[in-house]
Amino acid sequence: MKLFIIILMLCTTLSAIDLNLPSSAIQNATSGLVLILPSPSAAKSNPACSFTGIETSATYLFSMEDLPLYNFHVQYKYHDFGFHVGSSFLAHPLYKESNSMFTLNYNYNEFTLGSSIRYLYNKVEEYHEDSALLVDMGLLWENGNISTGLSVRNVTHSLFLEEQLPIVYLWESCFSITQKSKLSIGLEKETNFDFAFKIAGRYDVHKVLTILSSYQYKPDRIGVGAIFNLKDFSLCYSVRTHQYLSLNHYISLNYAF
Amino acid sequence: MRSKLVLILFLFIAILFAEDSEEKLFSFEDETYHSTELSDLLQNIKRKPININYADENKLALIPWLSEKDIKKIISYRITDKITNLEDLYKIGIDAVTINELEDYITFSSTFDLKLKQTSRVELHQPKQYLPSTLKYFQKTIFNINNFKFGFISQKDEGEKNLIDYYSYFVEYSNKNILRKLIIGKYRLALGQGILFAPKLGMSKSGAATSVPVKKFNPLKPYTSSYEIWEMEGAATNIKLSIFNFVPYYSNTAISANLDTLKCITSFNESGLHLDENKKNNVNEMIYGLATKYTLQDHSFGLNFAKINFNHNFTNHARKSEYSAISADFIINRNSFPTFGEIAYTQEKTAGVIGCKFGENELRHLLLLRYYQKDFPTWHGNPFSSQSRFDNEVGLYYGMTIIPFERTKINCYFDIWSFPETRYFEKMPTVGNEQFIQLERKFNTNSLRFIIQHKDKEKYISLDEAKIRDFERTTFRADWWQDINNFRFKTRCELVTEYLANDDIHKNGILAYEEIKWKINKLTLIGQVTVYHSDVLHYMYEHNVDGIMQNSILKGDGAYSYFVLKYNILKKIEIQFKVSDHWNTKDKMRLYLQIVSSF
Repeated sequence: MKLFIIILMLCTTLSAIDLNLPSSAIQNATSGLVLILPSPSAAKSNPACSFTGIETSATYLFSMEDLPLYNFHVQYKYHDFGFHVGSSFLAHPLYKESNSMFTLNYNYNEFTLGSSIRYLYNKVEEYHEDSALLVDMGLLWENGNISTGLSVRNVTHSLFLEEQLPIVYLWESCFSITQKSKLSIGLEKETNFDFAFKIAGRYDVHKVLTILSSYQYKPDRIGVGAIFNLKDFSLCYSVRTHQYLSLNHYISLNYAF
Repeated sequence: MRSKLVLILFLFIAILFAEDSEEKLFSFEDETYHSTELSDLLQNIKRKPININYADENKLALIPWLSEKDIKKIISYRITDKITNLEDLYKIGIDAVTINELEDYITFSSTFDLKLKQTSRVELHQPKQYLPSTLKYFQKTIFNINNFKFGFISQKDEGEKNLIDYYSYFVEYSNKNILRKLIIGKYRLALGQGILFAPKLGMSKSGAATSVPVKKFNPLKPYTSSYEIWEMEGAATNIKLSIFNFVPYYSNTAISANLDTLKCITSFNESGLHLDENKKNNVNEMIYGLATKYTLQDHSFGLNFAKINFNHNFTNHARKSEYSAISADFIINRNSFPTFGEIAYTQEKTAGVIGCKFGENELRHLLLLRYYQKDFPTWHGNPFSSQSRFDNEVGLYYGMTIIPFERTKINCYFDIWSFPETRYFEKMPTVGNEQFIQLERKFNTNSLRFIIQHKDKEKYISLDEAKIRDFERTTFRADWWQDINNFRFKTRCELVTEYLANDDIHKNGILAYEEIKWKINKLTLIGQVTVYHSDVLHYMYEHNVDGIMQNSILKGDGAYSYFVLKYNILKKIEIQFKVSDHWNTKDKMRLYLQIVSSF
């Protein structure tokens, strides 16, 4: 079954574009920080993140019904190696963007190194259609109650319609304050944007309920989410603010194997 | 003869033994009798505890655990002081085991408990403009007689001619039975999260990032504030029936408002200054309603209905002069995940606030969402918001308290809000956000606190330009407290920057002060010297005579200082004096004198 899904993903027409959008409801709740609650889609932000499972997510961006965004991610760990394939698809009648990737990471003691190859595709009806191939890199260091990750997306400085695609740097440190509470802080820098500071908290209220909350400074956003765990399945619902647009509601279904 | 003597001796011994055995037998019976008697006595005392402050020596001796020595100690202590709690008994020298036994059998309140607290305050300063009277006078007198409380408060601001320009009065009755509280006179209401009724001076945001935004009110209190607005006048009561509380209220009061040529209300006078007698108490406001609350150990639900009527229309036609309002509130304290909120509806407008707390001691979170529709009446309300007029605001607040190490605490909050519709002179929606981080570290005799606060909001700078400006204000502040014997030193350094992005205008300012507090026995002395060099406004809370919250606003180049003295005479009277002066401005010296008497 797992192998079938992986082959299916690889054979799917890989279509995406490199918008810095959260790839799951969890990341929507954590303002893009991934170490605080790893999920298969975390590899999109940091290729060194490894979490075995399947995750599918959907949202209407900023509650706009004609801007649906779908994500699908699968990750599998074999000994010290992790494999991930994922795809996200932004569908609008006149504007289509897709982003698909394959990630490989390797764990050695406290360190994990990962890299992704991404295929970006964008089509604007009666305007343009183009694609690009990008490479992302990530490093993760886990030491006791602290884990730190650093990732660089588009290390190849790939171009799209002869324009350079954004390069995104993300640093994140996650602290396990208690068994039930985690705190994550991070900095993100995207080409042509200021540094964005992020802080996220996680609290496991009960084995079936986890609450996530986060804040991002510049642009200012607050994200809140709840995860309902049922055996190997978990359902996450989150919202994130935007000062000028409506709330961004997100939903994810996760299966850990 | 010898045999007679032996016989007499024998008989004597026999009698002696006989008496002894009889005594023993009697003693046994007496003990039994006594034990029953003692049990009855204790039960009686428990039912009607002995007043430790007024009972005579014989009555105190009825309490079996009190020795003669203990009774003497109590009586001698009572000559000068009153015993108010079990701790006082411990101070007197009664051992902890005895105190533990006494608890159910004694009371501290008097049968005729009369207390008086009188506060008189005068403020004097040389104003920049001519005023007929520069004196500011305030007095508050409160009597307590058993379950009754009587109060009279009066105030005159500078420039006002009448010595009792403003007054407040109340009679309060309270007990622990069904009728918990009854107030006739001026009072204040506070319900739910404060959308419809709340004290106006409560804070919404502070360094206590996960506790202050949550409103926890006593629903009914007499109005004892020196602020001359927002009070209600009439009668209100708090009735408790099992797990239900009912607070019916009625108010009919005059308030000061600014009226237009058609005698419509343009705004209320919130300053309390009545320089023009024609504008004083020129609008009548009538309110009546009922608030109910259902309270269980870990949750409560409230429902409030109010009818409000002004005898003048509003200039803003969106606001009605007569309307009904309804609100529902709840607090659910389940485990470590308490949630709370209130929703209110009036004039076809809705307002709501909902929040939840989660986490553990080391990492606590608070999320609070508010939504107040445009023109929602805000006159008596003060729920969580970014500013005092909360209508037309939508926002989300996220607060965190982190204790990473012992004696170290980090409080931070992040608040994002928007005004989706126009407000005041702003002809398009605006947004704002605020970030606050406070780090506190305590040592044995030292404490350190660092604050970074950044506020970014869109607002109009002038009426001439139909353009919204982006305004940023950032504050860095470091506080250091040091305790040395009876002295406490506080040092502050504050740096403020303001930035107008549209015009690329930077302004900044620096402020530093040293405050010394010395407390010894009945005397407290506080002195502070502040220096500042600033293009922006610095807001600084400072010590004052009791009952005044003073926020000094400093700008320009200069120095400011104040000195406070508090001296307690015989524990009954405290004299409080303050003098403050700006060294570089025309605003002359300001003097405060307050006498607080408690009997």
